[in-house]
Amino acid sequence: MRAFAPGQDGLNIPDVQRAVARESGRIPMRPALVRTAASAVTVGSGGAAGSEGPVAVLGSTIASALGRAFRFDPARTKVLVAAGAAAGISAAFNAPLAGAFFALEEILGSLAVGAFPPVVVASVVAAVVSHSFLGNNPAFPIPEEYGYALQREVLVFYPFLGIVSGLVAALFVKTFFGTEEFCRTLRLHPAVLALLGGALVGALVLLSGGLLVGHGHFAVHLDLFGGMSWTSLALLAVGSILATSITLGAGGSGGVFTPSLFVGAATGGAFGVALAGLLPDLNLRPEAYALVGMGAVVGAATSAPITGILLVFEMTNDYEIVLPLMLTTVIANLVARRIEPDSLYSGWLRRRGERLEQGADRDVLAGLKVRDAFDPAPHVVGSTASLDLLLAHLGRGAYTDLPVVDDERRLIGIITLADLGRLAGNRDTPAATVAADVATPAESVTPADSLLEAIRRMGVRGTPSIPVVDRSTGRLLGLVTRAGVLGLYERTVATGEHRTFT
Amino acid sequence: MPRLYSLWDRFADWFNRLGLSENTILLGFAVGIGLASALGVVAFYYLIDLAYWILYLTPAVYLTQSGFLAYRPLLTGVGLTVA
Repeated sequence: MRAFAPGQDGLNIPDVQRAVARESGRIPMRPALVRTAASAVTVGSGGAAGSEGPVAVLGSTIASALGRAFRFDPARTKVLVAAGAAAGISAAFNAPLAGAFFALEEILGSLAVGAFPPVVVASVVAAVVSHSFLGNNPAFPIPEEYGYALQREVLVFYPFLGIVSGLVAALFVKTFFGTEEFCRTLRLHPAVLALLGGALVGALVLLSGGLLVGHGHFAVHLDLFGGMSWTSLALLAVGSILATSITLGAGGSGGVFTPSLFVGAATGGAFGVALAGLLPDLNLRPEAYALVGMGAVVGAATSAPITGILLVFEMTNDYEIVLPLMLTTVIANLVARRIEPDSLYSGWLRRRGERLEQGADRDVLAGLKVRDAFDPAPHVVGSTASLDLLLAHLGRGAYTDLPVVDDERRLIGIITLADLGRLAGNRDTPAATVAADVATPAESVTPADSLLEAIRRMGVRGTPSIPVVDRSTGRLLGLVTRAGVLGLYERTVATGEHRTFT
Repeated sequence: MPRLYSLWDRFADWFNRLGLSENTILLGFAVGIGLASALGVVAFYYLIDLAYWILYLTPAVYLTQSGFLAYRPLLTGVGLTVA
């Protein structure tokens, strides 16, 4: 990976999200192909990583290459990239609905009606083609028999499973990024780190009797979970979290979606077995809890609850399971986000300086920079300006905020029109008052910040504008106003540079 | 090669001049992307199974049980290093 695609530590699902949000759907071909091969070696040699990341990237990369080859505009390319991700997930999990909604929920970040038809078509075509090669089998072989005996289980027991699943999902996210951070602090040569990490994972897999990973691309049969004790299943869940975190933290290649499914199945299974032991007369089936836990943990860990629900629904082809599945997954997602705001995907991006926002307007604002919208020559006052001079500014200039600067044009603070009005109306104001006495500390932005960030910071103090400064020197570079932001936003939308499908 | 690029450019220009509707283009390409992605996934799965066969199943035949116990962690370590 390092030899053939230097500088590319990612190219996984978060990279596709970033490519769609920031780079007009442009995904480089070579790193994606190299990552696919690296993932095959990681998974084939017993690493605890998922195959969904590489396949989604593969589909997206094919779509991106086509979009570039035909010189399509960014909006069209982005939809095709999402269609490629949907196709990859659909083919890998034999789940066309989940694939389509994964693309809309995770890649495009909105359930846009205009993008729905191509995403669905790609997903269905991929599922049909993969059936003919791989057979009509779900990604995780599910138990022959399961089911919940009592309707009251849905409202009495499954909400608790939702809470447990949310806690486990949050633990997964925290462990995953904690391990990544720990591996970085070790400062080992990448090859040595991978060797040690891999050996540790191999030992964990041995201790689990091989249950932590599947056989080749086949996953572990969930029937096994029904006959295990709840402590063994709980240990499997923790072991899978550790093994996946170490595999990917130490330099392995692969996804986190499939391991999340496994962790969820083990968590749900442990919960079900424990409950069945406590209440033997109710004839509870732990396998049903394992299936529901699977959807709940994957939905909460990746912050894609719709995908989690649909994936398990498509695996089981059972409408009955949808009721507990929906309730449990939603509760798990709420609990997980309460404890850990990041998902496995958004956390990966945030740790690399990216914060993707969901929604078309936010996408546009997040893609525009302060440097394109600020006025470099606003009306400013010196910090020693007298009261009379300050009051002379009333009614002058185009803005209602006056930045106050020192002799070297470093920002001291800001005086608003309301401040000046108060000064004019207050006869007790000492004549020796200067601008620096009146100025209040102000939020500021840099030219490289996004307009979304500028709008956010204006919202902190409810001001109509915000100073732009050079962060290293503190010098004022200009002023960006809400009107300036809106003007650039409207021009951008009108020219179609950030056309989005709604 | 430059001649090939030039031919492709002419083809892309011709395609973009056809004036096909947005839905036609998106749906047509979605079919192709679905097909290509699925084939990519199938190839990827065969690649995983090939790696599993070479790295795991074949050595398991020749190694003793204790040798295999030592081999498994080593294999994953080497696998991650190679990846």
